[in-house]
Formats: sequence, structure tokens, C-alpha cells
Amino acid sequence: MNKTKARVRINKLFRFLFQFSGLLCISILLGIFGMLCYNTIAFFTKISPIDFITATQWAPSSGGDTSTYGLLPLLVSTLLVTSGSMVLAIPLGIGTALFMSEYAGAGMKQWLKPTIEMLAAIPSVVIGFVGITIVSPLISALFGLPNGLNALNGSVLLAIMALPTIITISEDAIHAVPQSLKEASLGLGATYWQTLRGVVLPAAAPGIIAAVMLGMGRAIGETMTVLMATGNTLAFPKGFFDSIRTITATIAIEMGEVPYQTTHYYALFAIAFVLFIITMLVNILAEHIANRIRQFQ
Amino acid sequence: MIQIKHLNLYFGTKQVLKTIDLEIAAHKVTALIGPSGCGKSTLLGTLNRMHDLTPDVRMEGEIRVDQIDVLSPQTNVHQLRKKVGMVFQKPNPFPKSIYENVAYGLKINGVAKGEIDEIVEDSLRKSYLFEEVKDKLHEPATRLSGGQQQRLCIARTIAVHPQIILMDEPCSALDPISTGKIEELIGELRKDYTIVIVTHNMQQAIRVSDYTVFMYLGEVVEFSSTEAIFQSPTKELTKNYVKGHFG
Repeated sequence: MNKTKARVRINKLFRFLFQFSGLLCISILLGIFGMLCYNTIAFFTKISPIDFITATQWAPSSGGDTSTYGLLPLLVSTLLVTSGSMVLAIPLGIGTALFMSEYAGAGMKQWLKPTIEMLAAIPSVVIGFVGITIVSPLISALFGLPNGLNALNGSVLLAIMALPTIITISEDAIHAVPQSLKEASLGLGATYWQTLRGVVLPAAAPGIIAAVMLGMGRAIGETMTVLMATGNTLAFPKGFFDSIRTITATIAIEMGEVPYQTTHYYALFAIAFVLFIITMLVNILAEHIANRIRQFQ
Repeated sequence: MIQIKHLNLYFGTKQVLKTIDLEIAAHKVTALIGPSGCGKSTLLGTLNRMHDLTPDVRMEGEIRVDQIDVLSPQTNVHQLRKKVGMVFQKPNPFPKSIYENVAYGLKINGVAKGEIDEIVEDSLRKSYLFEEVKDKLHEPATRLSGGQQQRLCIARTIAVHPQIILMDEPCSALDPISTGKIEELIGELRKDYTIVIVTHNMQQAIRVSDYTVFMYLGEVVEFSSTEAIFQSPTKELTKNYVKGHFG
């Protein structure tokens, strides 16, 4: 009798524990979102959203009435490094995934995949260090620039950081395409490449999109590497050879010194909110595309 | 149409096909029967070189399809497979629309865009599927029933105008009504194509085929008209199998 009671009690206890952890996660998430919103609204009571979006200068520390809070240079910087990194990482990542899944032998894949996954374990500070000491001198030598700490440098480093995610998840998706589909395509006289392009890649597309999305999420949100390796310049960037400062780097640099609850303080939350919106839009868009493809599977 | 001479096939060190000699007639349905593991699907796969995908396969002997030396490394395997189409055991439509499934083989073989619509419709009609799908050609093929999917796979195969169609137990995953439709379709297709069908179901072999090959442990035991195999087999082994004493 007693044992049954104890079992019922343990059952209830665990149910409560799981419920609690679920609710805790949701409330933390909502809490962060609420804090972001609250501070962003506080910022817009002081600076008009139009000024925030249209001003081309981020100059908060000039003090008093002369400070401007222009989102654009930071936003353009972030978009520049992110898109640059994706241009490098997407073809390289999918290509590597295809090679691993379809062309490399079992023996080669056995050591290649863990090695690539190890790449994800390198701390971003170390990547930043590599950027300063190796990649940036290379870029300045290659393109004849006085300074290699620029958006291109950031793009290369972010691509390196996004690659392991893109490769591993794409490889899983490509590997999961049923052999029967490949046989059907080859049986119609298709070459192996036609089969990959016409059947395997489309069938793996939802997984590949998820892979790219996660990789891009890492690139957009990455802070330390871009802070170290992109030159920290607040001027409006004109291209990949300009030094830049992304949204994340700006928050990281300025948050430590900004006086509590000033316009500047609120401004940092506002740009964080913009970052949040971008990431969310990327997620929604990717989910939407993946769902449309999934219909056919 | 198809000549197989002294064909041996090994997976690694294991011999799966043993000195097969066969002549398969054009515009007839030839059934390959035999218990599981007798090598009938393996034999079918040699005819369009499907075993290229399997590692550690070794073949000896000769196969000729319409004068093409199938096993020669110089043979263009893509040309061969265009000529020798294949329908698989489980329906395997591509994760594309119904239309795209049939059009796929045409696109990879470089058929002009203007002709594709017509060939797609024609192939679907020949597979008795057009009436059922004509209003939803651009819907996912995976929404069709299993039997419809298999007929779509047949439509996809005949769209590239093969001369021979290989069928590897095409009804084993289907219900009796769908099976009946596929068998009816095979009866219709024999007019234009040479069909080689692997089947587990002896009644099906009787219903659809003109000739039957009985295989056992990698060897051809008996090859004759379907009637002869089932009514008056000459070998004791064949008799025991078709009467259901083993297998």
C-alpha cells in the first residue's frame, strides 16, 4: 500500500518538475523579449523612429543635443559581413556536404566529419585572433590595402564559423535522401550529377535550408570575432574593403560604459531589438520555404 | 531482344548468379520466379547495370540488349538505361509534382520543352492514370495512393521511350485492386514493350507472362512458356516449387 502511494507521489513530483522547467524556459524567453521591448519603447519616446532609421551616423558620445543615433551604418555593417559570409559559406558548405555524403568513401567520411565538427568547438575569440594575425594581413597583401581589418575579413571568419553547422546538418539531410530515389533517377538514364541536382538536392532542401539558417543565425549574432577583426569604424561602410562595426560589436563595446537609463543606454536596446527582428524574419522566411518544399515529400 | 551468355555474378566472394544462359523474346512478358534469395532480382538488375551502385560486384559472361554489349565498360550506361527502363518494388515517385515526375526523364534527356506536355499526357494515358490525375497534375505525387504512385512510376518509365521495361516485384507493396490494375496495364504494355518481371506471386506469373524462368540458388532451373512451366514442368524441382511444396 505504502509503495503505491510513494509511486503516485513520485509520479506527481516529476510531472511538476517537467512542467516547471517548461514554464521556466518560456518565462525567461518572454522576460527577455519584454525587457527588449520596454527599453526600445523608452528609446523611441526620446528619439523618433524616423531619425533612428534614416540618420546615417551613429554618434552617441558627442554629448547633449548633438548626438545622433543612426541605425544605418551599423545595420549595413551587419548585413554586409553576414551576406559576405553566406556567399562564401553556402556553396562551400553544401559542396563539402555533397562530397562527404556522395563521393568520399566511408573511411574518409569517418575522419572528415568529426574533424569538421571540431571546427565548431573553436572559441570565437580564437577565430578573431586568427583573423587579426593571419587572414587580415593576407587580405591586405592580396588586394593591396593598407589595412586588412575590414568587412571582408569579418566575412571570411564568419564563414569559417558558420561552415561546420552548414556542413554537418546539410550532410545529414543529403544522406537521408532514400537510395530508392537515386535509383529511380539513374534508372531513367540520368548521370550522377543530374541525379544530385535534380533529385537529391531538392529532396534534401528543407534540411539544407535549416542548415543555412542556423549558420546564418550564428553569423548575424556573432560578436567577439567581428569586434576583433573588422576594424571598429563607425563611418558608413561603402564596401567589403571598408572597416566596419556591426550591431553586435557596438552593443558589446558601448554597453560597459554607458550610464544607466540614458538615451544612449536605451539606444543599445533598440539596435538589439532590430537584430532580434532580423533573426526572426530570417527564421520565418526559411521555415516558410522549407514548408513549401516539404509539401511534396 | 536480350541474350545472356554464361553470366556469373559475385558479391565479394559469394557467387549469386551461376552460369546463366537466357534468351528473352521481344514484345513478350517474361516472368522470373523462384524462392527468396534465388537471385531473380539480382539477374534483373544486371540488365540495366543497376549493380554499378553496389560496391564489390564482379560479373563474368556476356549480356546483349539489342546488340549493345551491356557489361562492357565502354558502353554508355545512360543510353542503356534509357533503353531499358525499370519499375521498382516499392513505388518511389520523386518528391515533386505528378507532372514533374513524368517530365523529369524527358528533361534530363534533353527533350525539347514544347514536346514535354504532350509526352507527359500521353505517358499518363498509357499508364491508365491520366483520368484520375488530370485535374491535379501539379500536386505532390506523394499524395497519390500506392497503386497510383506505382502507375505514375510506370508512366515515368515509358515517357523516355524505352524498348524494355524491367519490373522488380511491382505489386508486392500494393493491395489486390491496385495489383489488378497494374496487371491489366502490363497486358496492354506488352504490345509496345518487352517486359521482364520479377514476381513472388506464381498466380501473377500465370496471369501476366508469356514465358517463365524458374530460378533456384542462383541458377536457371527451367525456362519455358508459362503454360509449360506451370502445367507440365520437366524438372522435379520446378514441379515442387510451382505446386507449392517449398519456397
